[in-house]
Amino acid sequence: MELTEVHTILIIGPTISDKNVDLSTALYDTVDILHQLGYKTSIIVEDPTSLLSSGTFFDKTVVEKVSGDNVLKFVQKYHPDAILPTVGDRNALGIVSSLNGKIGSTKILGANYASSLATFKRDLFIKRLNKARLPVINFISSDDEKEIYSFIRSIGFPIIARRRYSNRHSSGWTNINNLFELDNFMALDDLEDTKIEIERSIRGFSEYSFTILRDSFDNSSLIGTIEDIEPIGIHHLDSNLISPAISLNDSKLQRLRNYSIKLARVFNIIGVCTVHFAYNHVTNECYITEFIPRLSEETKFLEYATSYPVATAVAELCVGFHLDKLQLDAGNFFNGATEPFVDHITSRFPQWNTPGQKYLGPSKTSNSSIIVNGFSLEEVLNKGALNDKLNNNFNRYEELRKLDDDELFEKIIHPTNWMLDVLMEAMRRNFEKPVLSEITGINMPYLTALQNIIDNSLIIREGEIDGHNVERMVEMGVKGVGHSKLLLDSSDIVTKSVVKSKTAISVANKNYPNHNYFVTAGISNELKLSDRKKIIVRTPIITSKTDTTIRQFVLFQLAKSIDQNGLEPIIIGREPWNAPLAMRRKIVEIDDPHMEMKALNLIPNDSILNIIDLSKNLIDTEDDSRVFQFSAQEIKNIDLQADTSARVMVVSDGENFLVPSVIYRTKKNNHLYEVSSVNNFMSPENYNEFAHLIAQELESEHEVAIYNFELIKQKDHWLVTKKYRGMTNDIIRHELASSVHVIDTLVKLLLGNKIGDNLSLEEIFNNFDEQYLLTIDDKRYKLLNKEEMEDELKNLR
Amino acid sequence: MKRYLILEDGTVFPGEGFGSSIITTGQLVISNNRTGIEQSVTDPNAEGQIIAFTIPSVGSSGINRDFYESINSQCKGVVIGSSSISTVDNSVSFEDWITSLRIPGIKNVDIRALSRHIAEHGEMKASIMDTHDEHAIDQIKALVLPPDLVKRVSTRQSYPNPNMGRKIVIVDLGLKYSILRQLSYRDCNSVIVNYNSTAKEIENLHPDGIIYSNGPGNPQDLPNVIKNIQVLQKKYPILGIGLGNLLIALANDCQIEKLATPHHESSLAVKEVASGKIDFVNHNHSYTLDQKYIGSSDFIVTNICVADGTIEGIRHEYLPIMGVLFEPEAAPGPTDGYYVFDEFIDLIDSVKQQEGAGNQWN
Amino acid sequence: MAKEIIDGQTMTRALTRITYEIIERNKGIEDLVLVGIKTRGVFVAHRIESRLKQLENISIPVAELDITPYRDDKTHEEKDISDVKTQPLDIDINNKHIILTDDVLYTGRTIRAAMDALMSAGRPKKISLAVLVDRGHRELPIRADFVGKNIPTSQKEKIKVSMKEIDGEDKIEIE
Repeated sequence: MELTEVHTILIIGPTISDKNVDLSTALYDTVDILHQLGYKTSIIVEDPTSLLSSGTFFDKTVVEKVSGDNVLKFVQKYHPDAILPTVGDRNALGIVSSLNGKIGSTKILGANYASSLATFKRDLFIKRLNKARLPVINFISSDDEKEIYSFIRSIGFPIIARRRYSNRHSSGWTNINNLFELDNFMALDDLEDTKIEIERSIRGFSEYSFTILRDSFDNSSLIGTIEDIEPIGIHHLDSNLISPAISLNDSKLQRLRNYSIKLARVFNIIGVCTVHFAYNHVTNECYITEFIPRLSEETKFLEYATSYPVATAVAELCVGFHLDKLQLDAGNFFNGATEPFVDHITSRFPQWNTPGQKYLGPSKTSNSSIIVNGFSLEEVLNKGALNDKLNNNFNRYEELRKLDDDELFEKIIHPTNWMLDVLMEAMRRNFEKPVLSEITGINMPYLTALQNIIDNSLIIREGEIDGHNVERMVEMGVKGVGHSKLLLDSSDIVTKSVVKSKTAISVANKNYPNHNYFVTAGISNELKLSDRKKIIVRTPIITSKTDTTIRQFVLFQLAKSIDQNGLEPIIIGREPWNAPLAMRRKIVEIDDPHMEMKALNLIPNDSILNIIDLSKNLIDTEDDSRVFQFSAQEIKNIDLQADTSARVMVVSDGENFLVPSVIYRTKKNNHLYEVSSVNNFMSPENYNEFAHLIAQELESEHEVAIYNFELIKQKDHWLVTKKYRGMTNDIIRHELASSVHVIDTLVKLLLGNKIGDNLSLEEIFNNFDEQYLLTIDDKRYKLLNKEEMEDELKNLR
Repeated sequence: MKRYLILEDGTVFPGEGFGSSIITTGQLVISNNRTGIEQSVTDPNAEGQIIAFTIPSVGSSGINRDFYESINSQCKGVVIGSSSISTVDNSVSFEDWITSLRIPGIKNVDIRALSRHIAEHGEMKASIMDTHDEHAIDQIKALVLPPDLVKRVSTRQSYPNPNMGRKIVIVDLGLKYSILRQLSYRDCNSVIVNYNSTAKEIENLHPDGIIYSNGPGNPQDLPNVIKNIQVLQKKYPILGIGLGNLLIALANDCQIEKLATPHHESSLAVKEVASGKIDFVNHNHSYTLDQKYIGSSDFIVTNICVADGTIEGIRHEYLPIMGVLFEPEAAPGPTDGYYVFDEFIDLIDSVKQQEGAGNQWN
Repeated sequence: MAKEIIDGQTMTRALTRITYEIIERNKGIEDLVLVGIKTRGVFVAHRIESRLKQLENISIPVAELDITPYRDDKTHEEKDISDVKTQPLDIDINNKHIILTDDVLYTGRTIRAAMDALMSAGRPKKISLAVLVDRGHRELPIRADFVGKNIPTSQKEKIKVSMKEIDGEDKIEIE
């Protein structure tokens, strides 16, 4: 059933641009399943750390700029049977659309040439959709007045219009709602060669996205729907997102589902396709605004929301599998032909690196996001967007209260990322909800949910809490710890704040194992733990793409190592993780935005062996003997600079230590060179000097720990300038570069293993790497073998 | 007001009452429908049922009165988790609508725990009440659900759904209006008759084809209908939907069985055996055909459920009879199953053509 | 310009329906043999064969028939006339019920040629005809027993059948 002629696949990897979505988990899942099914995969990637693995899956790893030229070069040299662009973000589709006719018999899997091109070329997109009679916003670009007016007559008001000048610049879009405004716009000076562009205005429409899977036998399934709380006009990823789309009734849902499937068929997209819609609930007008024939932020969110293994399924569909014959890993079948059913709501809300209000518009400004789960709108809003500590959510209430009505109204008209708080303040002042809904384009059910939250928090503030109220509040996701105790003591049948599984509960998916849980209100407790001793890992909140990559990487290595050492990893956090599929069934992930888990006592205390804390802002004082603070704490910092420096990672059992990874850094010819695993190139004198310095620093330390040192070279002598306990961001570089896994060693030491006395210097610095990572200016990467690296080092010294 | 959903086995789920405040008892059914509460509540199959909807935020999408599947609601009660009292299209709110239908409802129920409980212990009777004591549980246990569900929902008098095309007689076992919508769309000239109409009465209408509709309850309670099918199937093309399909099977020496996991889901995959094509269609049935008897019968299995292998469609090897257990008219659910009506019309035409050809060539 | 009149889904359904009809009218499919007329008729035969196999779990033999040497209409559309080899049927058709399959039924000359070829290869019990499209304009007294779709056409129009196996996708166009 698979494509018999495909054996070798080139994967177009992600670029390092901060603007791109982090698809590291999807990439890992894709390569993992292809590897298990016996395909040979190669990858072109800019930053090898985004692979989450030391590359064992790959036949070839090419570290280069991910560009059309380099892909073409690879194809001409190695002739892979196929190219897979689904994990390479938008860039990969650009590359695919440039390869038409240049790659001989090499196939493109997933998004073909035409569909890739149509994601860039607006006219092509419109033409194809019109031909297939799919609803698309028609658009005109013309300098002929007759043509323009005839077009406006055909589409009616409101429209948006702009002038495109001959120098390829254009004016901003102007909203035109009536004849008067049109006359004004047309009466403006006309420069030579100016074209006028006009399209139907869809500002204020509700935005939806539908994601479907399609196999090469034309079977399609809708795996999830997402709706934006904010209307069209605010970038999808700057909006608060809700899945499933709760505001679509049956005929609307089926209409959009049929459009999505038809679109994928028109472009013959195999694998995955996400289609965006603008929908007007007053007129029932509907337009397709965009489609994404690859893995994306939407598929990542849906995989989290529905537990459907999207990335794995897409990889299999791309190589020709039947939708009903998919496998979780080689030999382990699951029913892929299912439209996941969820009884809960999942919400994603955006995060910005910097605090303060941000005006929102059509371009994306957010840097990352947090995902929460719950059973009602109130619960996800309370746990999510309204509990946004990083963005000082609590100050918003105070600040907004100071505004007079006019100033508040101003904030309603010009949407910011504070919109939900602004709306709550407006409702506290009894602004009319239908009016607020019309101005903001935010649908009524959300305003009602906010109103419910206001009403309930009033009860708290006025101290009128009884059993009944508390129950309602817990259902609404109001921070529960104190209240849930009150519930536990009640003699009446009351709900308790407990952990709930997030598995999709479709009858079709009954046997699909999954260990995702979220803390919420309800009667049953579904948390199922094994008899194994547990290590709890507390995860940090992430604010940037770099942090995401680090978190993904460290959690993966930690979970793998905990599992391999016979323990059960339990990952708890605000938004714990989206684990690669292979790991998802072995770990227990609990998302616990209000940090209630400990108070609920659901994990037997004596089964917890250790707590590894990755969160940077959470220090547990009661349980400190078992808490291992993973994030780096600065112990020493001397501000000295030098052209040559080294970064050393040390693992200590309290008595002895190992130095599995030394990174060497030096400046030459205005470039900064960084070499991994320099251990293998160091002289005995160097070993001696380093070991001596480290021993000195560790004299008074008697705990299992990881240390990071920074040394600089001054007058031919090394000097320790920085010392950290815990992991710094270097961990990825150390771990990737070194075949001795620091994280695994650490887990073993936490279990009580010892390093052993009387190790020779060679053994302490032991590292059996065969490949070395050379980083130039922190931007470009190269993988070298031992001889190549020796040459490189000679040049540098 | 605090109310309780009490199950036959004594399990109690607390919640908040809405809609009618009467005490109600019925068969509890867990519905995993994504959308279309309107259709489910007005579906004649809901006769005698308390339906628990597992979707979150029930009511946000508004109530569309074009979605009615019968004139009056048949349902005995609704159970939901979270809900919204306002709607995206400013239509009537879910709770007001339920009140207007005089159906009792209970919300803020731990719907997940409820659905897991039913999945584990099977479908059972339940009651929505104001108290939860021993007495209440005994009452539910003692209650015998009426076996004449079809009699209650079937039309008493025949009525036409006129058009200019092929003539279809629909035997109403609990007909959903969307079946008529699909037939109208295909220009069929249909007549809807009471489930107990005799074979002679149906023959007198000179149909081109006969549809046995979906309906509630156990097909074994309808021996007369089975006898009618045995007479009519020799003369006319027949399509059975849901209960109708089960009756056709029983009329031809097949047996039925109760499903371990009943199918109440608006989008569940069904595979066409011949071509391998997968369609997502609405399911609402608790019985299926017993695999053991199919092999020796004159039926071939045309459709199976991908998730659990249940038989979902059959076709007679020699006679123009076809049947599906899922609901090809959707309402609610994906429209992938509409083709069943086209196939039935092709079947009718092919029979006509054969007859015509027979006259011409022999 | 070519206009698509039948899409992949409809074609799939039509082939499934033909299969059901074959079962219905042949009380037992044991002595059936499918003979596909090259090129697309062979794919039609294979698709019907795989459906029969899925439904009844019986493999029906499929033979390919190249009727070029038997044809009296060298201008017939859709047929490749460069290939003039006569390939003998590799299965015994004596006393079998043969279902001849082709994509388009037009003048009937191709079918006549196919019947000539079959008769020269043995003595079948019965020959039936299954076609994906009947477009009318018969020049011989030939009628299909199983028709996917009747499409009224003028003689100036052309019917183009595309099938996944050779053309990459399933569709029928008229131009």
